[in-house]
Amino acid sequence: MLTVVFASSASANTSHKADQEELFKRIENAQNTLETLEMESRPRQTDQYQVVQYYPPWYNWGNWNNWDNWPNYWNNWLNY
Amino acid sequence: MQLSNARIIQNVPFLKGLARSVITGPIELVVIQATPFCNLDCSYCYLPDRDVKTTISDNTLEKILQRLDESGLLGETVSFVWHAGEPMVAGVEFYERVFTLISRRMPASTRVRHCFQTNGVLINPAWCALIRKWDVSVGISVDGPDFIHDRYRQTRNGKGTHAAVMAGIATLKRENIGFHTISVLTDDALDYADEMFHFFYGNEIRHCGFNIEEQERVNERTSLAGENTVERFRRFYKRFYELNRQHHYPLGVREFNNTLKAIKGWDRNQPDQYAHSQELTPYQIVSIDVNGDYSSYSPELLGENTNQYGRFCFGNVRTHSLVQAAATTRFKQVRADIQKGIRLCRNSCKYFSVCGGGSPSNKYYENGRFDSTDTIFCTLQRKVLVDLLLEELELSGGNEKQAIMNAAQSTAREYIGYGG
Repeated sequence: MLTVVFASSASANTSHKADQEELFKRIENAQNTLETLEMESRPRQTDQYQVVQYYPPWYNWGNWNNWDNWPNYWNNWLNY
Repeated sequence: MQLSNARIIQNVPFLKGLARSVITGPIELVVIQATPFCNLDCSYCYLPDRDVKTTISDNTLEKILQRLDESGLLGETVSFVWHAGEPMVAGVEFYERVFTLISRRMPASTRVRHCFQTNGVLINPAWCALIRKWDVSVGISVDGPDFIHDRYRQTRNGKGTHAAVMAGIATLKRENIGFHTISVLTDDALDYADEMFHFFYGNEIRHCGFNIEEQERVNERTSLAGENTVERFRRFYKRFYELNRQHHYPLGVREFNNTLKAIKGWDRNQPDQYAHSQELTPYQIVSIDVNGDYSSYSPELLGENTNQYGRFCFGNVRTHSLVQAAATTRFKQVRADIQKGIRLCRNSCKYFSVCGGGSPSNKYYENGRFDSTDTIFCTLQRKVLVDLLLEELELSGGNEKQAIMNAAQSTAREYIGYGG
């Protein structure tokens, strides 16, 4: 009797794990799709100052020499 | 200078951490019943005292603020949601006084946000001025077009309220005040995805959420318990999603966005890291009624007479601190049973890592206990949505850019709120 109970429980657990694994794989596939989309839609360099509005140009090292953003920086700094 | 225990807990990081680890929190949402009274009489409402015209006293509010502060459980931001009765019945002057009181009494380290979850029929320019002054987040309860809305959302005379709600929405728009809507999905709405979508789209409603009609408290039956509800529900959401895509995603739909975020954030190495819900964590939500009685977990449970725990209330702000209440047998038993329910979900439901363990109130009202698993809520608001969005992502092969961007850009602010 006890063996039957344990066997049944083990079987249910195996089935649950298999279901879970199937869902996990689907989620990982979906994440890969999402990652591709985000790579495509990543903002251009000049757009990045829209995100870090009140930081000076040298804060974001990748853009330190992007002098076009100086007016934005001062405006945002004054408004902040 | 005399320091209270609360002040010491707040200011010593180790003690603050200890308080949180023992009692949990941090408190993120405080649902306050300004009044149990409602000027409408919606047939599916779960609140039992909708005729009682009392308003919360200043003294009770003072006590609430004291209890929150001394608990050591406040985080960086706390949202006060005025709900569980029509909040606007209390009047503009009431909130002007109360918001001032709260701004003076809350610790400077905690940012406060207010939210009205309202039926919207009382909104006028004076309310708009208050909303703008205090930067209040507004959630309007509207169920879609009139032939769906008016079936359940009625006055005490049995008259439909759609026109009055839409007048409130028009006032908000005229005053340029942003808002979101929450609609209760009943069986009657499931066959009208097109009409529902065009209602929101046509009225330029940008953010909407769907609650399901739940079997709770005085609403003892839900119209969603029918045999083919799941399939119809799936069809409804699928069609709504398709329409939103066809129109280039003008609507931010809370259910779609939250599900996409859960999918996006999932991590095989830490599969349960996002398996979290405010409703399942002690003191992340604190619900307080007009008399100062309070509870945690699902706000719908406050005041319910349960078989297992007696009245679902952990204490009264006049007599019990939150920390004291957490030491009571009732609190410990509730916490243990909810934890057991979470473990059962983890061990039996494949959706656990994108859900976290369902909703305690739905478990209680549908299954009679917290230490249980499947509910209608689980099926309709979790499983159907996860399956649908995975399916859409698989089928679209990557044309979901706008949806993902919308989901990523939507902020919690649009959906602070509870109920509908």
